[in-house]
Amino acid sequence: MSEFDRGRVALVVAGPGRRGEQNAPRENAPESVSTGYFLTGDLVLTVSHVADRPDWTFDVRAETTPAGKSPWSAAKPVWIGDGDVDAMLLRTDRSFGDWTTPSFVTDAYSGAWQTAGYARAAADDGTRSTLPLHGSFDTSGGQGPRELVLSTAQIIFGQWDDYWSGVSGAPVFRTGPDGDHGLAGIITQASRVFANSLTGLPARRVLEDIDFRSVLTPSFLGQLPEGRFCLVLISEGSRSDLAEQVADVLKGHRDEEQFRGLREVPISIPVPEAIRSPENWAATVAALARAEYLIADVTSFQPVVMLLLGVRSVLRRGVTISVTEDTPSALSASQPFNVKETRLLSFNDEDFYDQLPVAMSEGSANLARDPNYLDLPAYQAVRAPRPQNWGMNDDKSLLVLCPFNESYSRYWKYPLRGVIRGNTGNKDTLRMLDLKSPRLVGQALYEQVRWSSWCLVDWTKWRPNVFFELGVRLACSDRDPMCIIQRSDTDSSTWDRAAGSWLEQYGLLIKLLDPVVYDRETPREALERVLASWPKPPLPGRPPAPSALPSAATFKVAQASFQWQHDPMLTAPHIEQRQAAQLILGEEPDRNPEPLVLFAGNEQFYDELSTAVREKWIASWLYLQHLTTADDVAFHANEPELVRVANLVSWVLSSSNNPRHVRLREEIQVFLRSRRSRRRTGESESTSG
Amino acid sequence: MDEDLDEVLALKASAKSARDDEDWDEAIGDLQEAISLLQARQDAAPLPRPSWLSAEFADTYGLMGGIERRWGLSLGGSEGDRHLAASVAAYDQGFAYEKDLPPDEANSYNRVNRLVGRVLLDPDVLEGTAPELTGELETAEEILTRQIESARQKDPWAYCDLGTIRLLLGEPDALLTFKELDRLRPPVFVYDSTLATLQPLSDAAADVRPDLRSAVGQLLRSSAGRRG
Repeated sequence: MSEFDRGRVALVVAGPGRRGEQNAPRENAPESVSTGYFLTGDLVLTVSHVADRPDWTFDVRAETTPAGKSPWSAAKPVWIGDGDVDAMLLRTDRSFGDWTTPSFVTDAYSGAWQTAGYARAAADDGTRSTLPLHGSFDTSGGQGPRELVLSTAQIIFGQWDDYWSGVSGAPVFRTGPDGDHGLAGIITQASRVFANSLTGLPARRVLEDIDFRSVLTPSFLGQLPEGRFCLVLISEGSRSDLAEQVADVLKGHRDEEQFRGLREVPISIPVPEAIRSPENWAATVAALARAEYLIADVTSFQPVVMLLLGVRSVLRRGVTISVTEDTPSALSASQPFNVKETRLLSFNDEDFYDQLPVAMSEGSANLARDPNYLDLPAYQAVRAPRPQNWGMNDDKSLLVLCPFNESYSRYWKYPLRGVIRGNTGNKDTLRMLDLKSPRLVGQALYEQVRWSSWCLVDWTKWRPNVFFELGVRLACSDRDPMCIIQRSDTDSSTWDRAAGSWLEQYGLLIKLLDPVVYDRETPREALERVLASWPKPPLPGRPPAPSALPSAATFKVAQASFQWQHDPMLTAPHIEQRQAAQLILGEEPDRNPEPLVLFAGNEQFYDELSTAVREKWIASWLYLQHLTTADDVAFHANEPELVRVANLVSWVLSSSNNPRHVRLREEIQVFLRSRRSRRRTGESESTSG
Repeated sequence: MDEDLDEVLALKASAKSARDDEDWDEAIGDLQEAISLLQARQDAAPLPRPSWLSAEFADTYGLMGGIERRWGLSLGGSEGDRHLAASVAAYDQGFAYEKDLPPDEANSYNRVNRLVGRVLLDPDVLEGTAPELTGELETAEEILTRQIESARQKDPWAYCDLGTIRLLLGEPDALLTFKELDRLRPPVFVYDSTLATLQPLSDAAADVRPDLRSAVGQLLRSSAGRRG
C-alpha cells in the first residue's frame, strides 16, 4: 500500500535540442509540458504524448531538491508504451531521492483519488506550480481498452483544453477508506465534454508491458556481461556444486583458444528464481538468448528446466549441454522424447571435468562449421515457412500439447476432448499424434507450435515434454497458449506422492503463467466459460491475472534479445556463396582436396559439384566487384577477400576452355597483376619517400 | 582468426597468382610479407600457440619452398642451385611448425619436400652417402602410413607424399601407393602437382631409382584418364 507523495511529482519539459544555460526555456522553439511522478529516485513516469517528435529531448524538475543541488536534470526515455498506451518512463541523469517503487493498484475499478499536476491553471507568471486535484474515479466499460474516468472536485471554466494543459502524466493515487491505496494510473487527457472530467490510463495497462516492469525492477542477474558467457541452470533441490564445477572447467581451460575471452565465472540460475516473478522470467529469457553456452541440469527433467530449454531451443542455435546427477544410461527410458537425441553428461561422473570442455569445444566447433548444427530440437522447425493451407485451416483447428500416458489418454477421449470442441466452435483438436504432416513428427509438431493461433496446453501431471513444448510456444508466438491443469496437481496436499516430491516450482509456475484450474470430475465448470470467451486473434490470448506474466511477454523479450547478428539470413551474398562452396569442396580445396560430400565418389556427381563450386565462386567475385565499383569504402580494391576470391576463381577456371570462363579469367588476371603493380609502386614510393 | 589472417590469406593468394605468371620475386615478396604478419601475430599470441597459426606458418613456408624450387628448376646451373637451397631452407622452416600439428590438421608437405629438395640438390644422397636422409625417409614413411590409417585415410596428398617417399627409398610397393591414390579419384590438379615434383626427381635420379620414371608414366596415364 502506498500513499501519494507530493515531493515525487515532477515537471517534465520536452522540446527540440537542449535547453539553454541554467535550464532557460528554449527560444524560438516549441516546448511541451507534462507532469510526471518519480517511481524511483531516477525513473519518472509521464505521458508519451509530451514529445511531439522522436528527436525531442527531456528535462525534469523535481518538486523537492536537496540543498545546493539544481532542481533540474536532463532525462532520457527508457520505455515508451506501445500503441495506445500513452505512457513513458524517463531516466534522469541524476538521482533525486532514495525512493522505492510505489505499489500499483490493479484490481480496483472505482474509488477516491488524488494527485497534483502542472496544469496551466496553476501557472503563476510563467513559473508552473502544482495544482492539487482530487475526486472520484470509475472505469470505462464496453469495447476497447479500459480507461480511468476521473471526476474532479475542481471545475475549470472556459477554455478547458488550455487550462488543463500540463496535467497529463500526473499520477492517480487511489485514496479513501475502502480498499488498497496506491498508484492506479496516470492522467492522459481532459474530457472534451465535461469541464471537471479527466481520462486516465490504468496502471494495469503499463504493468501488462514486460519491458516496463523490467526497466522498473533491476534484474536479479545484475547486468549481463557484454561479451561471451556461460549460463548454468541449477535444478530445484540440487545439492550439487555444478556451478562451481563449471567455473573450475572454464578456469582450467581459459588459455585454450575456444575458451579465450569467455567469462571465467558462469552465471548460474537456480530454476525457482527464474520464475519467482515476471521480471525474473524476462531476465532469464534474455540471458538464454545471450549465453554462448548453456549447461542445464536436467536431473528428473523438472518442468522449469524443460520450459527454459524449450525457450532456448527457439532463441539460440548455440551450444547447449544437458547434464544430470544420474548416469545417462539409467535415464534413457525416462528421457522426454523431444530431448531424447540430446547428449547427456553425468556431473557425478569422475570424468566430468574432462568431458565437459570436450563437449563444449566440439559443440562450438560444429556450430561454427555446420549451418545445420543443432543440439536441441525446434530451432529450425519453428523457422519453417507457414504451412500451405494455414489460412484455410488455422481457425478450424486447435493444437493441444498434453501428456500421453494411458490414464490421461482415456480422459482425453472422454470427456476432455468433447468439452474443448464443444466450447470452441467445434475446432478440430490436434495432439502431436493427430498431426497429418508427412514430416518427421517432431518437426511437424514445432511447426504447428509456431503457427497455430489456437493452442491449449494441459499441465496435468507436470510432464517434461509438455513443458518443453510450452517453452517453445511462449518464445516463438505472440499469441499465448491457454494453459489448463487438473486441480489435484496444483496443491501439495492433494499431490500424488507416487509421482515424486512436490516442488516449489509448481506453485511458482502456476502464479507466473496463471493456468485455468479444472476438476477432473467436473471439467465443464471451469473450462466452459474460459474456452467460450477465449479472445480471437489478433488479441494475444486469455488475459492473465495482474500478478502473472503479461500476455506475449516471453515473445516480446525473446524478440528483443534474440542475437539476430548471427542469423544466416543476414549473410552477405559473397560470404553465402563462399560458405556454400566450402561446404562442397572445403576451405582451401588445393590444400585439402579430400571430397567430404556424401557420394562425391560418384564421378558425374563430383563433376557437377565442381561446376557448382565454380559458379558460386564466380557469383562471389561478381558481387564483390559490384561493391568495389560502388562508392563503398569498406570494399576497397585491396580488400583481402577480393584477392582471395580472385585467386580461387582464377584457379577453378584454369581447367575450363569455355570462352566465357577464359574471358573472365583474363579479367581476373589483369586485376591481380594491376594490384601487384599498385602494391609495388606503393612500396617503392614509401621506400624512396 | 582476424583481419591479419585475412591479409595473410590474400597475400598467399596473390603469391600463387604471381607464381603462375612466373613473377618469382613478387611471389616471394608476398610470402615474406605474410610471414612477417604471422610473426607479429605469434609474438602477440598467448602460449600455447593456437594450432591454426602453426598451420599457417607451415603452409606459407611450404608455398615459399615450392616457388623457390620452381624458380631454381627454371634457371638451372649454380643460380638454380641457390634457389633450390633456398627452397630446402624454407621447407625446413615450414617443417618446424608442421611436425607438431594436431591430427586433424596433420600435413606432410614440408616433411616430404625438404627431403625431395635435398635429392634434387645432390641425387647421390640416395646411394647411401647420407644415412640421416635415409633415416628421415623411413620416419616419414612410418608417420605417413600411420596418418593414412587414421585422419588422412582419404587425403590424396598423403598418398602422393607416401608414394614419393617410397620411390626415394626404392621400395617396390611405391607404384602400388599411386594405384591407391587412383582409387580416391582425386582432382586432376593433384596429379599435375605430383608430376611437377616427380618429373624433375626422375630427371635427376632415375638412374638410382628407376621406378621414378615408371611412376611419372603411371601418373600421366591416370591424369589423362581423369581428364577424359
